[in-house]
Amino acid sequence: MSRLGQRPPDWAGQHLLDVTDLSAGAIELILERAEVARERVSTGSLPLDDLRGRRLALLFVEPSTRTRLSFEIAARNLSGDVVHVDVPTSSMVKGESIPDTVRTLHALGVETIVMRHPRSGAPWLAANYFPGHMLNAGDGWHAHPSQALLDLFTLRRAFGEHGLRGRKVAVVGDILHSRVCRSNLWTLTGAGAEVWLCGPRALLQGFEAWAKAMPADRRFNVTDDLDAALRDADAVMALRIQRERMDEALAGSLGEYVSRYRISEERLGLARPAAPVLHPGPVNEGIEVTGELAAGPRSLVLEQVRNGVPVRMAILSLVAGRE
Amino acid sequence: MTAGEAVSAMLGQLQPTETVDRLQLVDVWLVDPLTGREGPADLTIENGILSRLSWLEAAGRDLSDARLLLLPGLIDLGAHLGPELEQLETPASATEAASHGGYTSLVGAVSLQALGMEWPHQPLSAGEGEAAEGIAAAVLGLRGVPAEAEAEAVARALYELRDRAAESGPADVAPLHLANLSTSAAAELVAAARAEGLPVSCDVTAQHICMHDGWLGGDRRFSWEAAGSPWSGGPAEAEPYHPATRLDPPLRSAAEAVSLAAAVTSSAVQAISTGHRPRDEAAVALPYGEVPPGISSIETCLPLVLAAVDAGVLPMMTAVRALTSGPAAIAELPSPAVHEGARANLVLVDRGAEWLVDGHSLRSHGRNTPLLGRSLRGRVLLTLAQGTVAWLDEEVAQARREESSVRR
Repeated sequence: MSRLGQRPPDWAGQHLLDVTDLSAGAIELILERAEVARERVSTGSLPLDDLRGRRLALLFVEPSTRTRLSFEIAARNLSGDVVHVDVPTSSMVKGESIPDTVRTLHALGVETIVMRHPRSGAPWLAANYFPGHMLNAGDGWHAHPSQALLDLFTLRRAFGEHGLRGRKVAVVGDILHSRVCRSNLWTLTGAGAEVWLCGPRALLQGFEAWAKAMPADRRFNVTDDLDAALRDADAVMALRIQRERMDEALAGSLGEYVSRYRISEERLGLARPAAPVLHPGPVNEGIEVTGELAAGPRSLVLEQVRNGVPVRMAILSLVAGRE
Repeated sequence: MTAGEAVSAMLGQLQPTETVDRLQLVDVWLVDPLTGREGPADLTIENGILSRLSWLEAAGRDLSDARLLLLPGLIDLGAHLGPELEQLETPASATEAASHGGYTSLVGAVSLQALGMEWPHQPLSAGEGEAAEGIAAAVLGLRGVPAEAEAEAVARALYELRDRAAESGPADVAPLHLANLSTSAAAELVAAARAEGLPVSCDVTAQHICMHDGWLGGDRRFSWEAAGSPWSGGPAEAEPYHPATRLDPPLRSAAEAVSLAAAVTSSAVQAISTGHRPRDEAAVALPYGEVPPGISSIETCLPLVLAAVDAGVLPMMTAVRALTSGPAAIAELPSPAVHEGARANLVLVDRGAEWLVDGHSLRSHGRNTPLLGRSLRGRVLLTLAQGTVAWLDEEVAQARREESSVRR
């Protein structure tokens, strides 16, 4: 038996619902273990046995390709038994409740559920009715812990040993509706980065008050001025725009959004030389970033996808592995 | 004699659901909202009638020395006990819950409408919103509704009232009651309209004074404790997204909740109501945005109000008026009377005693409250409704039974 590692007896909890549940030490452990997993993946020394004999369900009540695939590959790399709950045909659309669904999965021998849901907070409800491990793979506008951890992992690798302390990271786009933004806010400020959230005013609702209420060591900046956010930035994270939401929030002025907030090579000139560009994907080329930039040498988009697997392997081994 | 023994000696003869033959309440702190007098008093109740009341020399004592508090029976304007709840609550459980809360009179939404009053719940509803616009909505990824929406809805309702009053004269226009306001701006609009002579009143709930939007994220501090340092999204005492923190109107910021208390103190708000909306577990086992709003609150309203009094956020007399004579005036009920010859509608509270809010202590079948598992100060020992024992604290009853078996 070869394992990535044990689940430490003092590990952060039964579930992983939000990055705010993780101490700095717990995050460090995930990132260290993800380094080991990345090495195993790149050398093809797989599968590992952390989840051997364990059944894991992917309960995706909202479409997703990359997160679902990434979790599935990560679980298989650890010899987990993966089942899919195919929501469009499942009884959930026939009105079966979340408590019923997770109780049923438990009765079928599922020990771990990876859950994606369009409503903020849904995984907390599910966790209350599930005796196993619940992993949040994105809930509404609220949280996307594994994405924030893989983004942190990617940035740390990009910046080398000095990491993120004192680095300026600009997060640009649809802040209001972004779970990626909310989770990254915690992990990035926790790592000591200077975070700037930038988007149209209508998509920053409540964030200025939030920034002021933050403890001094986690203060962040909120602006609708892209130049201010990009100036001297060490990294730029563009968020995905969903057209339906933009139409609602901005009264259909997607063209204006593009002219004010699309990140291009030219605008990136304000940032530090070689500052990398991240995007959680899938990229709407020409809207959030130019196609040229997304495919260019400063883009870390594919690196993020690549890192998703080892980071999720680390998470699964810690949350759902054996002690 | 300890306080507990004194209480037991006073209440030991009582039998639930029976008219009180004879009861002496010795040295209790009486608050009479009609005369505005409060202080130590002795009272005798015979055959359900308050037969003797003597105020004692206060001699430098104040409220802080008073352990046993005697108030007129509380009156609620806001309990929702409509037909949709029949499967959850029975008439017996609803009545017992009310008595445990110190309530002797419930004015349901249905009977208020029968009084010709408007119940503007719809126009003030949060609509698509899941939370108040602000920090908690931003942190938790919930759709926020701005506080101004409430003041705008109230302004519209007052504009229409003013129109009707101009047509038929203020004396002939049906009074307007605005229930469960959650912002001081809306309450100030009502106060200004009252000053013009318009027949309008409003109430707020105890939860909108004591709780705040941080409760959605698991913060469990009272609003006056959180106003200076609002919850900003870190780990909190409780789990986020408790379904009973979803209210209509939504819980607002801690600072707003504190200013709402100030609006009660300034008499811009005339009543504190429970907003009691019991729901069963299955009905709220939904993602937060789909949870039907509501909290089971009739048994916790008085302890929450007393917490605000203890914190200095509400004066005792103001609080008692808002729980008794204020709602009585709005519902055109007789004012609660604490004088010799009156039928006893009284509630005796042990201010210092804590009680655990749980499935055992709550008599309502609705356990939908974020206070579940928490101890609250202020325990209702006895509720007399129309001279009858509607509530008698179990421990008091138990202590008396043990005492009499020792004597035997």
